[in-house]
Amino acid sequence: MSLGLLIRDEFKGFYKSKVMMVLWIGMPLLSLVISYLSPDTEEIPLSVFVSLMVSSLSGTLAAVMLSTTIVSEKERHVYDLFLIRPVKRWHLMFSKFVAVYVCIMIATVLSILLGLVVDLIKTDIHVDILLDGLWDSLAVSMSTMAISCSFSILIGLLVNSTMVAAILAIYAGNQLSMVAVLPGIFFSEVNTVLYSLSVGIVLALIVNIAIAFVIDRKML
Amino acid sequence: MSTKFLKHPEISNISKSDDLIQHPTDRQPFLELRQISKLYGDFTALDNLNLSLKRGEILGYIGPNGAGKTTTMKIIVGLIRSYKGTILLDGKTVNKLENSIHKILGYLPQDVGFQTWRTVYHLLDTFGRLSGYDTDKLPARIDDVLQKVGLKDVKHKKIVHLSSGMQQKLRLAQALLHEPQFLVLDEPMTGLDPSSRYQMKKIIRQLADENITIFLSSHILSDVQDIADRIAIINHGKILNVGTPQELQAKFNVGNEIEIIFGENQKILPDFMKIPQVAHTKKISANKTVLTLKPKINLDQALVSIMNELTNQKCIVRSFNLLQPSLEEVYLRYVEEDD
Repeated sequence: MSLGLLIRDEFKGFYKSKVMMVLWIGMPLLSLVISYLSPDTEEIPLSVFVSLMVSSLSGTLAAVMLSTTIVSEKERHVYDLFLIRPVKRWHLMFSKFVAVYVCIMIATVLSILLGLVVDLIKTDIHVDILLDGLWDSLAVSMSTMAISCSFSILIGLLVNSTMVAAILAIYAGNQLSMVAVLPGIFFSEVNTVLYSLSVGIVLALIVNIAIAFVIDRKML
Repeated sequence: MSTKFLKHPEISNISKSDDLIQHPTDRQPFLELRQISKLYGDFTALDNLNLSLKRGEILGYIGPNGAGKTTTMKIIVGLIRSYKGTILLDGKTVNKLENSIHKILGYLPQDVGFQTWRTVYHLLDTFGRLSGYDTDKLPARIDDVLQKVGLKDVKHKKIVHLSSGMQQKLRLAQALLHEPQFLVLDEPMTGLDPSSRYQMKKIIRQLADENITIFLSSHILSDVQDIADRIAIINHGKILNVGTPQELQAKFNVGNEIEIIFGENQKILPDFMKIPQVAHTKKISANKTVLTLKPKINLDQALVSIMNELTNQKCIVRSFNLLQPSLEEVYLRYVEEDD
């Protein structure tokens, strides 16, 4: 019961934040602008380009926001009043993960849809081919974001300095999330969708279990 | 949504004596801390601390900064979970990981922040739901509590825009919201102006009258003295003494002073030093003298001797006052003696 409530609560807090405005409006617009300005991207359909760009940029942005927010909320003892209520400790962080993840996925889907519309208008690539590439990039985006979001929560919990948390979220979080992307790029015989989704789910799950363990054993 | 953990309204309305009959367990302490120790590295924050709270009482918890007040409270509310010793709630051992106290607890922490995007209403709504309060009754209850603490006008304001005094009232509001049976208040008067302070004390006293058990820390002794049923003094992680304010004063039977104001024409004062119970005398002004009595004497006998002396000397006395040591002095003596 408390998990659903906490997710709704976090969602409320997150979609009102400035970061979310950037993700939901800024990202699709930025991708559009770049596609018009840069002739290099004409080779790749805009929808694919957009999804890759949004997943890397917004993934990083969300990861940094998550880790630094947790450090500062920890510092200000924000969680104390949650922890003294009959709430499971792991719900507190898992709800953050779900809320932020859903928000950035919405941003990604919005951007991709926008790219798709532009592609259909501007190019004569067949819809089937467009969609085929799209599933690949969507799967990769979903996985990398799940990994970097969960990892940045773990960083936020373990680190006590906002600066260190931000740096770790950018570098370590992003490097780790590349695990979901690279094999699909280098080995053509690998099923990108299947591979990246399974890696994404397994890694995010492991990191979330680690988070649950840390928050249960460690005093916030 | 379950409300089974919350105090039943009918129970809160019956008097304490009726309650005793209904709760045979009242003979045992409501909450008991046994041999609680907490180390931070080499520093001993709490040292085999024993303390118990009776149902429906206000236990004031006083001690200098760093004495271990907040650590004790954080252990009780389950924010510190690595400690030695046992906590019993209604005679049952409290599990460190699945803390049963959470179901009946309202907590006002000393240092707590709020998420920047929250409004007053939104915060209380979330905490009310998380505490398992009936969602249908929650909006009305939030209004009640805001009215009680005097925050009704800022219901839809963002918390970050409130003054520190208002934020302190909000901390009290969230602690009371779900009608808990047990309140842990860590320095509740911090940052309040005199009228809010008075209001806060009134609210706390009312809650205790509703049979809610309250554990209250403060370094402002007069605040505790006014409202606490019993007071525990802590220093260096150890309880120095527990008792009613009167008991604590009586126990430290030192420093009883008598202030005598003579008539203006009284030129010659009696020699009080020949009275055996008088330790020393001090002339404050032309017609005002303060006598300090020796410790551990019979106070009534001493008063009679002094009165007799004044009568024998035919002194004109305008006022004769026994100055008992304030709790502040008692407390300082305990702490100084301990140091």
